[in-house]
Amino acid sequence: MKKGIRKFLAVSLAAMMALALTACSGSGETTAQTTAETTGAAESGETAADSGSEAKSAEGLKVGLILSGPISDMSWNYTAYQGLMKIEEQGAEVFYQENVQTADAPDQFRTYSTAGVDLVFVSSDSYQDITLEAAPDYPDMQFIIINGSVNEGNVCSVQVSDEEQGFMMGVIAATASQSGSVGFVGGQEITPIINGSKGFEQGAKYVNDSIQVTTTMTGSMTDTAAAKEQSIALADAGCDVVVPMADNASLGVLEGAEDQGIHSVGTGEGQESSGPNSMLIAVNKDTAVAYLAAFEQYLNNELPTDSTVPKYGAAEGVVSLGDWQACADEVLTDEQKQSVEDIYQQLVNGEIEISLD
Amino acid sequence: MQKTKKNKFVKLLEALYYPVIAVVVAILLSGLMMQALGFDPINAYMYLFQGAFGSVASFSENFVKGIPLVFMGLSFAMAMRSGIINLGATGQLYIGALFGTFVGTHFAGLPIFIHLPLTLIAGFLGGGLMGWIVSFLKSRFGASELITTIMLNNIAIQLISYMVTGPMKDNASSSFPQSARILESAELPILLDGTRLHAGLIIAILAIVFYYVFLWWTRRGYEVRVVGANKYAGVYAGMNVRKNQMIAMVIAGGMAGLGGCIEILSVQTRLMQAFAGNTGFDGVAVALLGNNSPIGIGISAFLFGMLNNGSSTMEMLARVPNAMIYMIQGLIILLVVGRNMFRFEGIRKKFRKKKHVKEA
Amino acid sequence: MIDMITSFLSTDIRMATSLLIAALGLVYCSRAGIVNIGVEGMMLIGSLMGVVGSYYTGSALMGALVAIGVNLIVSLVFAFFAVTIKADQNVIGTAINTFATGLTVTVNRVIFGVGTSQNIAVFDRVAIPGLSKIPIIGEAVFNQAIPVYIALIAVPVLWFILMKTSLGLKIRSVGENPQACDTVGINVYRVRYGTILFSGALAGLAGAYVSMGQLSSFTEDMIAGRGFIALAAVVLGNYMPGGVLAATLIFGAASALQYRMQATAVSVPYQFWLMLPYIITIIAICLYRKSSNQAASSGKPYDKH
Repeated sequence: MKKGIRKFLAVSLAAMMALALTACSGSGETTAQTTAETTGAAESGETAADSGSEAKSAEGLKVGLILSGPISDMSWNYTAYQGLMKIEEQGAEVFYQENVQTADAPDQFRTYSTAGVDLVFVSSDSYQDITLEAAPDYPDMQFIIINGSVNEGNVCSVQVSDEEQGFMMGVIAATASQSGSVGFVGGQEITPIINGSKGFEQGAKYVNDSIQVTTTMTGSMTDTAAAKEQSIALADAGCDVVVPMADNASLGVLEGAEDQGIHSVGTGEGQESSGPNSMLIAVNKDTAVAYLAAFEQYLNNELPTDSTVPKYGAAEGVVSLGDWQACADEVLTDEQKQSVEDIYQQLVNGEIEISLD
Repeated sequence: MQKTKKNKFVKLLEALYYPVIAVVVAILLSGLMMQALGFDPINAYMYLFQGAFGSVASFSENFVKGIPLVFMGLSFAMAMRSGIINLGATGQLYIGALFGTFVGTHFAGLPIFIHLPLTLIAGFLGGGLMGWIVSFLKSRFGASELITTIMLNNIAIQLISYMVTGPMKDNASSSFPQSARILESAELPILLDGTRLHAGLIIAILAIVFYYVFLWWTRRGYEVRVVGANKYAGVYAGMNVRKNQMIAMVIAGGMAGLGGCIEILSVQTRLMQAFAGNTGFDGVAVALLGNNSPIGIGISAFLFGMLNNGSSTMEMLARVPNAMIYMIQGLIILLVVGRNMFRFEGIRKKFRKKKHVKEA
Repeated sequence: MIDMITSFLSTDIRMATSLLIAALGLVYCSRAGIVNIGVEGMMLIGSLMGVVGSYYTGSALMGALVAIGVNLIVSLVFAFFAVTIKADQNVIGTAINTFATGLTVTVNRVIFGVGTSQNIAVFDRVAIPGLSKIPIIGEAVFNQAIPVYIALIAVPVLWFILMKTSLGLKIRSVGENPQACDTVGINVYRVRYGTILFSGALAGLAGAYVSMGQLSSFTEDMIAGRGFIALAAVVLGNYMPGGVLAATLIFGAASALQYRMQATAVSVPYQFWLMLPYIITIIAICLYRKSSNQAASSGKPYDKH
């Protein structure tokens, strides 16, 4: 018996060592085909991160991404992942980790640092404080926090204009509403959804000052059934246009609107299959654009070092209008559609200010 | 029965023998599954191994991720010993973290040797309060703990959401809903420079020792075990079932609360929504895998911590979804508790015995 | 007003159905002395496999059958470990929950990728002629997807089988006193295997109802704790099919109320409305005191030797 154990331990130890050896020797190297375009699309007036050095090439760079949710959420984390894939197309070697708990982020930074990663995208401001604490330990890595608010040392922030997406949803909802009452179904109360709901209310009021806006939360980004029932309850309460902002669970809101014969506004491409007779249009928020722009700035050493945090919204193509769906003709005239598009154009031109207080 | 030290050691090895085989078989089976799903298992395991044992820092992460699991495991095990199935570690963890955060963010100016213990006690009390509610509802209204613990989990999650978006929200930092950072005088010190290994490890070990001493060396612990093993025997021996279960539940809740509090005081530093993920229910698996024994809980918490730790490297470098690790964990639990399957020796012996009986 | 009551009932029934289907299966295996915590994972597997089956066959019914079939295999594993190997049932259940989390995410990614919408056949609403015209409840109860009707019909049928037939007596006896059953020639193992498989199949159907009856796609982690609520509903319903119906309707009503309160009254933080269903359930279990029908051998493996 005892002998058996010892033998077993020896064999398993040997096997583990063999594994470890092979782990160290063979690491897959990606072959790069395209070099990064080095057209400077960045904001002017910002000094380069490490001044004096020439523009970097995407080839041979290692880029990491820390995600707070699953890449399959068809929304925030999915578009972030798409952004990373586009960076990979430019020749960089990319890594990502899903569902990273806030407290685990510093551990992932360490793993990235061991793997020689040059640039780490941190997908949410929930990691901001913990990143700021950990970043000085990794002076060779550059951190970019999406929706962060701080530029400090090797950490800088890029913001995505969630409020502009919310604003456009509000504009469309209020334009299409006959009852004068519209509803918002959020998932969890986190920065993008808080800002989105603020934008929604202002967008609705922008079109119709007397409109009634009801904001609800399901408390979950995965409970699609709850989102559906919440939108049905909103319909009962008199809302005739509902909009979601709950990642994957957003689909439930479109289904609920379909079920009740009211209308909805989507949050991304391809959602119309969940509400073919209810979804008027999608207001897309493609965070990939922000990732690519920030990556470009990184290559050109143009990441901001002062306190200005660039914000990407309608003007940069992060927030965009999809195609009008067939059911939009039931409630919207061509003039109304046109006025929605005009307001979007004003947003692009920076003529509309959305307050986040 | 007299046992020499050597005998105990051999016993320990024997106790480990089957779990080790089970883990190996689980890893092989998951490898086959990965292969079937189109991933390269050898590649994935290499990175899993590298992520868990590649360096001192990565090795220490096994402990960092194992520490909360020790407390969640002890919480389940303590309640189980008194005959209660405690599925409420999640809620107890959150309320412990809430209490701990409150004390840890207030009372600036206290020295660390007062503030830190005070904060830890608050965490224990928060969890203990949740445990007490469960046992109170059970003894006063006969409410099954299977219901109340699950409901209280959800209530606690919403309460935390309310606190960090409302009364406890820190408006100074970002717009993200979170509490203020805990004060330095309430922070658990780092044990090993260059790693995140914190003094929570010592508290976790002390908690395991406490669990052992309380249950096996005190009269109260003895009563708890008797009541848990057989309620009627306890009543017959003049023991108060309700009182013993209440004490066990308060300690169980307190353990989970302490675990949640320690997370806040070490790696987390701020209270936020859903920060604990699946830790509460992982604790159930840890306790049961460790057979509710002190050493078993310690070892299985480390094993789970290691798998969680290695899985992030696996996802990063082998691009296998880290959800895959849950499949491996599930299989390990299944095979470890089903270890009777591997008792070839036992079966053989039984077979032989039967033969002897027949021949006789 | 009447419309709102109808809509409220309709939500109540939709929310209750998945819980009810899963809980009915749990009643049977609980009565035979098996505690099946793994129902959460089984529902999750059911919700994915239903969508997968529907995706490949183009029929929601076939999807549900696939969900049931896969869950039969999963519950066979559960039964093997819980009954034959005599391992702790809570552990096996936990193992299945953990395993299911990993399996569903991985299989979903492999089959559907990460960014594509799933165009699948779903359970359509079927209005029952005549009955659906009854004022108030007609539209709410008799204009639902097929699984809702299956669940509602199953309640009396399963009650009858459990309380009035020799099969039901066998199941209840095995839970109360397996030793005695063994001596009178009842195969304890076979009864327990049967009830576990039955509850697994129903958990599969319940999961398929969530993804194809309530909704029309699978999203990761979509069961979101419903299995545990179903477990609680069995205890609240005192291990009786009728009781379980009442318990799940209470929970469904509390949820329906919560959604409506959020949609109308804004002055209370929404988190408190989200707590409402859970608080109501605790109050219900506290008010409801009766001798428990929990099986005497609950959770204990039976050893023949």
